[in-house]
Amino acid sequence: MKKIIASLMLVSLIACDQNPSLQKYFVENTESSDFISVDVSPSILNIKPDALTAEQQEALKTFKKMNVLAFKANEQNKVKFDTERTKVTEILKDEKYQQLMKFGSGKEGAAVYFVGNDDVIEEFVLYGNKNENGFAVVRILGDKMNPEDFVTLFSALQKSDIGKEQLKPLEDLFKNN
Amino acid sequence: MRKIVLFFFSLSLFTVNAQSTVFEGKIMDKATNESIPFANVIALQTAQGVISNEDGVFKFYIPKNVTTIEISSLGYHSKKFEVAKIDSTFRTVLLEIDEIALEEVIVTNKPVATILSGIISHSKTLLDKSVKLETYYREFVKINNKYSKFADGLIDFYLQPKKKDKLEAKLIVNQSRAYQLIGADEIDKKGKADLAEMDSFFDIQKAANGFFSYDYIEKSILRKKNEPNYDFELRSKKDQYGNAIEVIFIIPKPNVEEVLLEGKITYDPVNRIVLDIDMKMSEKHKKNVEITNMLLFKYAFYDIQIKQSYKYINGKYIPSYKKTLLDVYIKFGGQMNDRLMSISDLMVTNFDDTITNIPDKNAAFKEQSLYPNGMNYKENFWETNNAMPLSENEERILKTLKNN
Repeated sequence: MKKIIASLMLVSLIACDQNPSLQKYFVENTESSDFISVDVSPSILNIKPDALTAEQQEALKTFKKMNVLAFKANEQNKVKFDTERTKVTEILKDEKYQQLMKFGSGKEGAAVYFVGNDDVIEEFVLYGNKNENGFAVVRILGDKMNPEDFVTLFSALQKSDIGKEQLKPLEDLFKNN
Repeated sequence: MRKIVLFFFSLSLFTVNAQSTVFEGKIMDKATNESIPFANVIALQTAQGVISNEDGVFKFYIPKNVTTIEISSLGYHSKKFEVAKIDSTFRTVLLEIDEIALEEVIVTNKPVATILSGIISHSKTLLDKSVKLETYYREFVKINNKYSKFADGLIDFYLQPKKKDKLEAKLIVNQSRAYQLIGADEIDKKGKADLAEMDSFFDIQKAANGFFSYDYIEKSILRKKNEPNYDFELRSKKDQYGNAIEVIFIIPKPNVEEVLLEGKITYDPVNRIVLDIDMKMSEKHKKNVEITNMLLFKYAFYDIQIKQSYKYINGKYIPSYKKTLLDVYIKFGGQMNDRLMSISDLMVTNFDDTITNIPDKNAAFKEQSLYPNGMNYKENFWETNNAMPLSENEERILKTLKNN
């Protein structure tokens, strides 16, 4: 267990070094009452290996952890919503965030970014933004991930009860069901 | 070969001052009278050219100093035209089927997939130099089964494949047009994302990348994990000049419960270069399409079609034409629950591999679609710059969009 914590720390340190801005933004806002924050690591996902296809198991191996930070908009925090949203979009304008896909208008929509090269991706960033509900940033940190793994990972995640439960606030926020 | 060169040479002696004449018409199969789409209309001296549209119609503004134009299509005898004898009337060009172009299956020692990956990597090496592609680009976007957007433009793509790990193009948009449907009924549904204002899902910055990367072949078919899902069949036939060309058929295995591609790749076995790729999502495997939940949104690809072709002229390997169709479903909260389809054509009208000046980063076009550039043109470039003519059907769609 100690080893896992150490390696997780190492990962976050590396991530911190390579990616000060988004990392910093997460640290600064995790405690704030306007934000919901969720951290998911493979060990707590507790997915039974036989519930996964070989492909999903491979994908899971490249996955280190996932951090979610979501801003819940309401009547009182409208100004803050705008400020925070602008901060995040500014951070994501950095060249190192390469866009994988994007849709929606300038004000509302979602986008997927990655950091690294095509087949050796160290981080995926999901960004979703809705005027009425708020916005969310999801960071998926891993080791040599590729876009295929990334999609596989999401289908694996949905097989895990803990994964589902932990991410429920996010699903609620975006009402995707 | 030498004979052919001599023949051109003698022709050029007779043409004194080639004016910029329009060469236009419709290409049809002589026996069946069916139109021949994607046929090449090429100026032999400069390798500039156009391609016929889905109705077989083409329009070519003949560049200066060109004396001979050739019309060719795989499986047909090609035809040559002397520029001096071309007048501006719309003509019907009948091509005859080449009987000796029949395909025969080849049995090889090497696995066909290995042959294919060798050809692809060799083609990539040849393309690996700084180039400027002068192109005509256009796209139609269909939203929930209704044609909603159209854009076209003259775009120069500057690419330096080897410079970086990833392929990045610099774009100069010389002229453009953009139409979109702004019907009130389309956008005022309360709580609906503004589809009419939506950024295009398809990134124009990457429109030419496919010519150089062959990504979808290498990743979705040739990767170790995916290769067992396919059967490969190699056939040989003669092209319009009597040269042997080979075709690899990529056949998805019917029992695989995944979304697979199907199609064929034509290549020149002597020069070891890909000439034509024609791939699409396998019909039989479309039942395996699943909606992917990405937490913040859901999506599914319902159709993918890619056609891209290359020319090999005077020892130069040149990207020529690329057609892409993508049919996507996106669900984003209560706001988006939509099916988006885009069909784009990218035609290379001129190719330059001797460029020294790459435009400055700040001068390059940064948007992901042509819509922000909007109506921005000096002339009717879609008529005068060797753009591929719209098919009758496309013409109709554009007219509806314009009237909105």
